[in-house]
Amino acid sequence: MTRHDRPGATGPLLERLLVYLDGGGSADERCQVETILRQDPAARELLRDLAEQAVTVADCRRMAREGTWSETPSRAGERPQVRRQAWRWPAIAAGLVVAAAAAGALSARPAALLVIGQVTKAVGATRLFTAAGRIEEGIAPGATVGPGDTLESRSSDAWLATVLGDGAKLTIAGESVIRVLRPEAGERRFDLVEGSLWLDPASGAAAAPVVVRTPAAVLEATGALFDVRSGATETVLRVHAGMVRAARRVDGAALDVLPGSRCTVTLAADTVLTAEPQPDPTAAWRLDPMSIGADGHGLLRLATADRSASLAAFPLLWREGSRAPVLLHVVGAAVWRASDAPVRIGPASRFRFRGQTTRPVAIRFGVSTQRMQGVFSGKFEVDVPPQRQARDGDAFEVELTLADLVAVNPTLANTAEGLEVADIYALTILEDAGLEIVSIEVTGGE
Amino acid sequence: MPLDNAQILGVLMPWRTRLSAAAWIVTRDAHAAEDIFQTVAVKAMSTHVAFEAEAALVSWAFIAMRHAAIDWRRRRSREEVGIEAGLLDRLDADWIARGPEGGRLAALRECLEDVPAESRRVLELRYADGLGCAEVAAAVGVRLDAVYKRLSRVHSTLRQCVEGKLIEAKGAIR
Repeated sequence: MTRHDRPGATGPLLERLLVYLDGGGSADERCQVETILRQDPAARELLRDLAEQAVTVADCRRMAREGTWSETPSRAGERPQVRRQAWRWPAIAAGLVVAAAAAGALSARPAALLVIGQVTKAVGATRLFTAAGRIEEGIAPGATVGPGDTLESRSSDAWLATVLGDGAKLTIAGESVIRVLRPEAGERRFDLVEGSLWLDPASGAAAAPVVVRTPAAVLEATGALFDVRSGATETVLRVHAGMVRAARRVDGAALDVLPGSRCTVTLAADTVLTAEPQPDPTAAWRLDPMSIGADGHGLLRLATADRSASLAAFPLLWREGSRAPVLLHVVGAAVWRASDAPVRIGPASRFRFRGQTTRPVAIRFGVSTQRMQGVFSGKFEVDVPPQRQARDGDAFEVELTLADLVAVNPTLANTAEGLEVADIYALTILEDAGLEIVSIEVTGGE
Repeated sequence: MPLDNAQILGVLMPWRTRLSAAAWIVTRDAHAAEDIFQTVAVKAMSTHVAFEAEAALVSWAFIAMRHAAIDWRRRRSREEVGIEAGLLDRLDADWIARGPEGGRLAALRECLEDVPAESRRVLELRYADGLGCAEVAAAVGVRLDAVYKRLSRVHSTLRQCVEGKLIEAKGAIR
């Protein structure tokens, strides 16, 4: 017999309590136990200790197991055991902080479900596929997200910011899709299906680890500031502060990527996984419809004898919050993906758009941005009426300066100066005016 | 000034085991008790009631836990909760007087690590898997009263172990 199997002096009373709590014993015996509990503080203390031990046993097992709410057979003859989700208290606490901030959003998600983050900002066409199979077009700020949910920002002008439990901010922008995975071993886990993601760690707080999976890589970080751009076969990681461990999924090769470095991970394992210094920013960039490929948003129209190649606007249903949806016709480009070097906006930057519409119509031009080596910084836009467009028949040319671009969300940044271009776009609202973009040029940054 | 969300969570966290235990006495289901704690914590932060002091929040939390636990049990069973409200009041009052968990929980976790495998299995079947004692008896192949005895011994020894560790800790910081 070990020391844990020695009977204690409280044994008989404990046994009676155990029978009582098990629903056993006669009515008289139950009555006697309740009388003892009412009259004897020591008996109540015994019951309290027993209850604390019971919940701690369950808690320890939850902590030790990684599982889901699946029914798994146990030993022969035993009832199938319900394996509970492997909750880690930090994750729950994180969820609670977030969920509490969500307040009004809690009605949409039962509080007992694990909450990983709360959407704090949703701009443009966004969509949430919940784990329960519900679709929410136009995510409302305050919505909570948990394991199994998929968040989408669906166009060049869309972005979505989510605060995580430890205060870290995760942003996706442009055409991006991210799936929230079940936390494991205290790590928040996300699947970046495609697009771009920025992670800004909490300041002054103990950061929780985060794992971002992409088609090509698995990225692990704790308290690091980084961004990721991912397509179907290639992932580009840029680390701005802290360290991120990048692992190539095809062969498991791994590398610690340091601040100021960039690491490109592909599906091929034919090269050594390396990091390189992030390239110096450039002030110039040009959209060529023929070579933009998957980095562009729009329908490629090939050149003919009398016209240049162009990207034709693609319709997109834009819905924000509870407002009625608006139909947009959008042409855009993911500059961050199309340009080898970051394109920095300077005080003398010019943005020249050339294209055509089938009739004079107001066109909205914009850029979404991020801080150089930093976080997503919002978008800047301007509506240009036909009379301000240099038009020649159907063709137009519009040149914008830094001063023309107005911050959509000034709390992120009130000027685009010094920021990096993430996406650039042109669109018409409601009207399909046959918008096509032949070229976009960014020049004169310094 | 009312407690903000971070302060509310900061107050409730050290009470987590005790609040969950209070709910367990009603539900007899440790996972339900944990779920209820989460629900109550979220409610504390989203409620329109402003908590000016920690004591008010803790008292409110015990009452909210109890109500939620009773609701939970009523939804799942026709049987009465079993423990009269007056007794639950006393238990809650004792808990509040005892204060937050302090080092007791850490000591209990350490003690649980030393529990022999067979005894641990009985504990887990009863509390982590939520089996009734008769089901535990069937699972481990012993009589029902043997399960009560074994559980009684383990609980009793865990209490002694925790007290011993707390005394050791006090001695160590003298």
